[in-house]
Amino acid sequence: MKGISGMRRQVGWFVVIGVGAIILILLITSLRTDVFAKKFNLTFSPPSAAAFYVGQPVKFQGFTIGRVGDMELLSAGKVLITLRLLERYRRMVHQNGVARIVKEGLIGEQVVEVTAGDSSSPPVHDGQALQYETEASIEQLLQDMKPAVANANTLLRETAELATWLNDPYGAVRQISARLNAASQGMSRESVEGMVKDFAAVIAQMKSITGEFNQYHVAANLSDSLKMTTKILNDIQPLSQKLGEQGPESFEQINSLLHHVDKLSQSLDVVVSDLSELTPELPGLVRESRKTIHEMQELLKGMRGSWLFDGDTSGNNEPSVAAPVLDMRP
Amino acid sequence: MIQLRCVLVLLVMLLAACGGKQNHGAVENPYLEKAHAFSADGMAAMRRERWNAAERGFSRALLAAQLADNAVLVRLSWYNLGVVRSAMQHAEEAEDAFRRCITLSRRQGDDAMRIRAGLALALMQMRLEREVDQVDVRGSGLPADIYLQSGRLAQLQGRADAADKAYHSAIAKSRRSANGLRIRADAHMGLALLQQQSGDAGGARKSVDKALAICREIGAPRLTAHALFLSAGLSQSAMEQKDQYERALTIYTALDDMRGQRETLERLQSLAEDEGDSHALERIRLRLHGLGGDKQLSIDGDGP
Repeated sequence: MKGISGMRRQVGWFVVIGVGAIILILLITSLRTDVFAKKFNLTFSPPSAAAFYVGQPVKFQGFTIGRVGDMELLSAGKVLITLRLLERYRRMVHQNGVARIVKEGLIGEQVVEVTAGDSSSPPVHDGQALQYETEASIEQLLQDMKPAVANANTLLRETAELATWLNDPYGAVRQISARLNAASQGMSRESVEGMVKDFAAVIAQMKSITGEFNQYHVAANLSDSLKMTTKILNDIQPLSQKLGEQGPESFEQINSLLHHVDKLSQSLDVVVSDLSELTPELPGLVRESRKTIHEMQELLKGMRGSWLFDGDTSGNNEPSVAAPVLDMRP
Repeated sequence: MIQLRCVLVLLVMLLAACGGKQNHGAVENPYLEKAHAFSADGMAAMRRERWNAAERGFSRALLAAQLADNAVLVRLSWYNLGVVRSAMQHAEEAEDAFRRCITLSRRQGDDAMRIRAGLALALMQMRLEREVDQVDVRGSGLPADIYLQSGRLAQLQGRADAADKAYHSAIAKSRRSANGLRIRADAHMGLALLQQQSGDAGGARKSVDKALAICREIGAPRLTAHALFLSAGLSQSAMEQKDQYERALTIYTALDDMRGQRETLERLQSLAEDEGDSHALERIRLRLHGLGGDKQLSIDGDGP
């Protein structure tokens, strides 16, 4: 009997310690991860839900204070995003705080940021609707576009130089032109004229994009670049009609031009990627610009690859295979 | 002589007729254009580790490719989706995408894509410590990314000679483009790790320096941090070690890479202990302690 009683006691202690350990682990986990912490909701209505996803971190002063809890498309076509935030931070967010989407750094995902608002106003209450602010992100985007526009300027300058050089009546091109022109006329004239015309349209589109954001001071910087670009374009267009008559001689010049078009194309890819997350209206314009630039790339590659320039068309035809994402951690 | 000239002129005329590309008047499939545009969106997002945006881009590219009924782009989009989902640590969805790509590639006779997806799947299975599918990597003229993945898989499986050969092939095959240079940088880093393991510190330093030079050219912060960390470990000078560890730490911090931060801080802690720098030691200990703090709530991982 005594032995059985001792065993019962041992089993009892075993169960009590086991259950106690589980409770302790749950307690520590809940304290460390805030799984069971009290939470409250805030809502806001952005123009599009494209940049959001359920579980997206919500930051306040650099600290993660919650997640995007729910996304709804209301009957009036409005988007409603619900944030699920830790209750202990509620008193720090005031009535006129705003929600906005920001990039944490130069790399990584976008997060929702909630600002504190005016500390003299009362704290937010559960379920309150916040204002959604887009200004900072668009400003950031326009800053991102600056390298693309700068690239466009370089490209145009080079095109202008190429055009002037080709148009030089005393240049070597004129001396060798006659027979070669007859052979290459079909490709060069139409293509090069088309290229310059298309590029003019691209620049016009970029102008219209920035024109929509005149209220932001960043647009002023872009506007200056574009004025310069338009001036060069106006000079190029009459010349472009004659470009095809000679056909470019210098392989290096075509390569350099192609290099700048490639760079411009890459910059626009990045801009489109950003824009598609922020607003549904703009990417159409930028996408069209990019399409034109891709056409220019193809055209230049074709020109470079033609026998006239002793070129190689295989070099830049990169397939859209994503590079492997490998963990090369030592 | 005159006959020869005539032949040459005719030859020149013939070549001219073949040269260049005539696209004028061609009808374009809008879904094909969309598939290319969305793929480019995804690639641009991937280069900046914006996995959600990349997945959206590739999903849309897949749908557009399906609408255009372009088998090549459909296979490619499934592969790209697999890569980005694997990077997001969405293992089941990534496996599904890779398997679809493998099935389609096998059915349609695309060996390169079948091997590529098979290797990516095997690497993911290795990372998750699951049973690894066998991949037959035989073939000639395969692209650089396949050699890179094959090298990494061989390295993880302890086949150093095969890994070394594959990394050299990846370097030789890679092009001078953003993706090509990234592949080359990864291959140099892989070689550096192999050489470090075999005790060839000099070779490892040369390889890691090449990887770093490419990273600085193309902008690959995570690989830069890994390379700096490795380079510091290979250095004989305490001053250089400290400098490189601190640079790696700055990048790991910017990337929110907890594991990288912790490992780098531990190395810096050892250096500070050797130097007897109590002030630096205290600061490093505080940071190490802070890494276990409450800045991140729960799911923010270390990334790939």
